[in-house]
Amino acid sequence: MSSAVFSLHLRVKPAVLIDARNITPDRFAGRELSELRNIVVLEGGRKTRLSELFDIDGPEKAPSDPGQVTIVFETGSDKLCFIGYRMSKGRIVVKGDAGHLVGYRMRGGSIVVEGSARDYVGAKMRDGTIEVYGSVGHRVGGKLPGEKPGKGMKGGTIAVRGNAGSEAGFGMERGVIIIEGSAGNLVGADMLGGSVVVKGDCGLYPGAGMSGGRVVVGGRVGAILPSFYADSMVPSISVRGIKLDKPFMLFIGDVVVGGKGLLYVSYDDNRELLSYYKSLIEGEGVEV
Amino acid sequence: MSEILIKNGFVYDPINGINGDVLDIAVKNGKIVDPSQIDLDRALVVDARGKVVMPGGIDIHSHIAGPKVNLGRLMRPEDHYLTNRPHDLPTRRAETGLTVPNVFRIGYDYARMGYTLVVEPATPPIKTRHTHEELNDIPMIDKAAFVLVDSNWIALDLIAEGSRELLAAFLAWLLSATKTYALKLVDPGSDAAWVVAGRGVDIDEQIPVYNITPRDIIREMCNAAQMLNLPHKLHVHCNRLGYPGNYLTTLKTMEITKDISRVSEAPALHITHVQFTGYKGDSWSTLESGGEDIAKATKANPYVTLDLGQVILGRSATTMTADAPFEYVLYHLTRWKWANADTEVEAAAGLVPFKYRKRSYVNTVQWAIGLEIALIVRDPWRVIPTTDHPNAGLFKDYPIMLSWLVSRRAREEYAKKVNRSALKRTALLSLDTEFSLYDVAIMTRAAPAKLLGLDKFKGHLGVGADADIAIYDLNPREVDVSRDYERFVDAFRRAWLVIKNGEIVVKEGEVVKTVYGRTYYVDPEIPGELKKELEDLLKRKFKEYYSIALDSFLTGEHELRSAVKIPLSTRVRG
Repeated sequence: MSSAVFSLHLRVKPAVLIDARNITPDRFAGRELSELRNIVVLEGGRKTRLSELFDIDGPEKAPSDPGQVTIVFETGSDKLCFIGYRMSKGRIVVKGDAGHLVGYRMRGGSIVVEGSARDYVGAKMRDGTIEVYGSVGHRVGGKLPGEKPGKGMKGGTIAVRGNAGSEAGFGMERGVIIIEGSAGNLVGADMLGGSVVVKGDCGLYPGAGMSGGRVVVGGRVGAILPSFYADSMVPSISVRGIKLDKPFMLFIGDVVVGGKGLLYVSYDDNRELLSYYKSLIEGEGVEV
Repeated sequence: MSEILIKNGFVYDPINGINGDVLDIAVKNGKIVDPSQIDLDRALVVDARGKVVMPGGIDIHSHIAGPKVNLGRLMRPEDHYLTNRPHDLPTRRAETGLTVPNVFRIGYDYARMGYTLVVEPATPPIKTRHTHEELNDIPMIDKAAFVLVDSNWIALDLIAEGSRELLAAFLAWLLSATKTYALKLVDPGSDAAWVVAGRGVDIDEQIPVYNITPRDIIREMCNAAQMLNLPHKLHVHCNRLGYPGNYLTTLKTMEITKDISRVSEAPALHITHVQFTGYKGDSWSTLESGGEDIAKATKANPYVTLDLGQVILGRSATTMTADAPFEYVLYHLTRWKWANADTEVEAAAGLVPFKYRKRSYVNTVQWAIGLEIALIVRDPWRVIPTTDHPNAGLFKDYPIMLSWLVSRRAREEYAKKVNRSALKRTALLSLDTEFSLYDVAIMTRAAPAKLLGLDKFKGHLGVGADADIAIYDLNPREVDVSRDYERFVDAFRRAWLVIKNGEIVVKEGEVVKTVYGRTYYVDPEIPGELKKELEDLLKRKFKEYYSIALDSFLTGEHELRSAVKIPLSTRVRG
């Protein structure tokens, strides 16, 4: 299957946020290059045309199937927001940094960010994959403030090779978030389902307010909420084909919301914190 | 100020008995004048041929300002997504929000529907300064606020002591100190009981510590309101609101009007959002409508007026009330977000976001109760349609609510989408009452103006009235509103022209000018001897109860953007 590649070069380094929500394979599909140059892009809230900000190269006419459209941002910028908004098919590659809300409400296809991205990567996404080579900001796969738990990510996969900020998987319902580096506080807050895997360390209180789903912390953890109870020790776990071959302690919570979420914390990395819990599980050394 | 002449419109002006006659209305210097006084060379002539001309609408109960409205804004950021509308200066400020909109949207949306006077029905005295700050910022409309006195410790002390004169004097002082318009009772005594004993009280239950009942509170407040000769006597939110079987409490509350010493034949008690207190049955699963019983009692008791609190199904709402114990219960039903707040000495409030669902049994019964009451009582002068914004529905949906009242067909169409088994247990579909446009003008203009005692200059189009006029693009000679109710909804949603205080502010449903209205408050006089006694009492009680000084409590007239004082001569003896 041949793919039509459109490459976009930023003309000047933007000084204000750019709303690039119309630059998606769905909007490109079936349009001629001259039409694409007139696509509306907001620069600091003001309407402007795509060609004002980008030089665009590519075939004269985009294929009518968005699945065959690839959009390549040859220069990235952390001011480029809403990349891949509601896209259903196709592919977007950002050869540099990206701004806020990458893949917001995304429905399919794939996004690759070769630099870092800012907050709300994959917020409220339904399906598709997002891969970020660098780090991401807060609330990866999250919901917006004030919404009910479960209004976050509903499916798909987000892979982050670097670190993530706070509240990764905030209010997510389904899907997988894999963070190779470390994560901030409150990983998987208000989660209803799905999985968040942090291979490195994480901050305070993973799983706060979670009522379902699974959080895995493969490194050190800052603190565990008292509303989680230690359930058992597991020798190794595997999540969607990722095998973590070391002992984990399983916590269940958050009982504050009557939740039955699973929180796996690496035992070897947190011996100081977890040895007391282990003694509770094994029924040893408990003084009443 | 310009002169305006509105020609050829079908005028509906119930206070002056004008029912759809073609008349000319002349406006000069913000007042309505006789058309002969207009200089036709300079006047702006509006041709309202084939259109309905009414006085500006009046909403007697809508939570538009105050600490709890602001709490709602803070608590519901998701209420503001996708609702933003950028400003269009200098005509219009930016708008945002759906169930708890920002101050600008409140004013503009009311103006777009042709409403020009809105009352904030519950403000805790100590925070009324904040309420006024917010009211000051609401554009387009005239405003007033009712002050909460349901669990005021000083008032409860005075009721328990039985000092009637002093109670009346205290309430008079409170009204003018907070610059408010009338007294509001919310679930009388319950906040006091909740603080002490952790529960609400029914009308004949004892309130702990004070050893009085809510019945005593309502009766004494009624008496005080009569003595003070307040224009809007007493605004009551009944006890046990929101509990199945509470219609009996509502009936008992209505009975109280027979125990008081009335000074006039005017209504003595206004029961607000009666839908919430009209539930029959002993649990949620056996909930039935108590609408018929309440309607019968209302028909028999001329001293009671009602407003509906009509539920709008399928829309999100934010329940916010000074009935804090009930919000605590509601939170346990919805289990999402909740905020409760208590002010020192006086009142409490709570907030819970809520959505009324069409398929829900309970919500459908709630929807039917409000309409049943309005249709059975069939007295537009005494039953006023409201949605208790934003508790049961949004004020934006008033046109839809009115369409259910003017058209049986609208009700039947809507009833296809609601819970059938609930509908079968109500009498709604058997009712064939349909209100006319004249009745709509009464319900939304004349009756609220009369009820607020502002009918000298509001709610009518006679000479001398304030020039608040709404013109709707609806030809009553061609459109039969009972059959073509969608035209009615469209017309009332976007007024064709709105004149506020002699200026054109809305054209074809769009705001063309931002103006700011007045705030009305009453100032009952207190005889000199009683004043001395009251001052002593206040000094003592403020030291005992409040964390702030008496002087800091008083809201000055300069703090209101445009205050209108209504002095009252009272019957309080020294």
